Amino acid sequence: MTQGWWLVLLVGGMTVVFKSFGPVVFGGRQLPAVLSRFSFGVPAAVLAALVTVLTVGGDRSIRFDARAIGVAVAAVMLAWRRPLWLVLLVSAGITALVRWLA
Amino acid sequence: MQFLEATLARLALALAGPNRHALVVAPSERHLPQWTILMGPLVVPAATIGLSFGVLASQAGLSVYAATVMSATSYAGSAQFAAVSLLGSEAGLLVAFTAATLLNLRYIPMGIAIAPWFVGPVWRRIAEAQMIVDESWALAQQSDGSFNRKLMLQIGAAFFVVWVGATAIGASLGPQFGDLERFGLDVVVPVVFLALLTPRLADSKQRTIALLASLLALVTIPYAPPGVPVLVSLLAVVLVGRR
Repeated sequence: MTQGWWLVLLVGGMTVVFKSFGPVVFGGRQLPAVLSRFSFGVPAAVLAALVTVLTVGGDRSIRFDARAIGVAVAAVMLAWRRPLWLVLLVSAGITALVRWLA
Repeated sequence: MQFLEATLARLALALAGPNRHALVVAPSERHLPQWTILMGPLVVPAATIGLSFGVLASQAGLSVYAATVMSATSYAGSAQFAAVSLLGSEAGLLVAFTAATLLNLRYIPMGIAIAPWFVGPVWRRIAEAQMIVDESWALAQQSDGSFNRKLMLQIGAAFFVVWVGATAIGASLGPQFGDLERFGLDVVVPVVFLALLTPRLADSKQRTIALLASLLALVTIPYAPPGVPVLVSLLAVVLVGRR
């Protein structure tokens, strides 16, 4: 079996377990406060790191190129609460344009 | 928990953008089912992201079947993007799985919050729980804090069809796209993550965690293999959490 299929199986299984956990096990109970705080902090950290890595990360190097410009434009548009489809369209277009001009 | 609920509600509004007035039922729309009114503004973003995921998955080496099965079984956008991105960057299976796991941790408190409205046998609760995604969960919450389980299932199911269908189309077209960078589509993944992150930045603690995590990742990139900066960034949660 390929790594891709292993990933499909593992992520699928994990997601099913996580989504089912509350409705099956916990009923109406809430998580302890400490665990809740940790759970809430993790997505912000992981998402911020992924944005950084996927925007300026190269092969063990930092690079600021057309992609960084596109993401910066997207950040401004998201701050203005533009719809996501428009943000994606404009940021991709600007990235492609900058790359073409370069 | 209240913050998470508010964050996800803001996410839905941000996704809807200027069309968010559509999330409120206008008199002329009262004859339509509520889920169609709520789902309408979210169809294009869901299709765009699903299509992008399909293309990305295809280019990361996943077959059309594998990409489609992943969307059907995982049905968790950010985790799927993270896993496939990291696998495509040769970070390794373990790192890709770990990143996806960390991103999906939020489904535990979300599932607990909505649990009282899940009734019936265990198999049914497990099946229905798979329709929990950020958007369906947020839109199903009522003004009194309760959840409309039926509405969550309807929106979740509609989203599911769009998501899986768009993934299959994207994965089929993926090889024909050639280099995604030519179309600027390599920004789709970081922009999607940014869109998911943005509503969380309204909270000062989350904002501090995000900034610190970004900094840690930036510092780590030149010295570590792909994927490791994401794991190192988790130190931000520990550091900020101790304050």
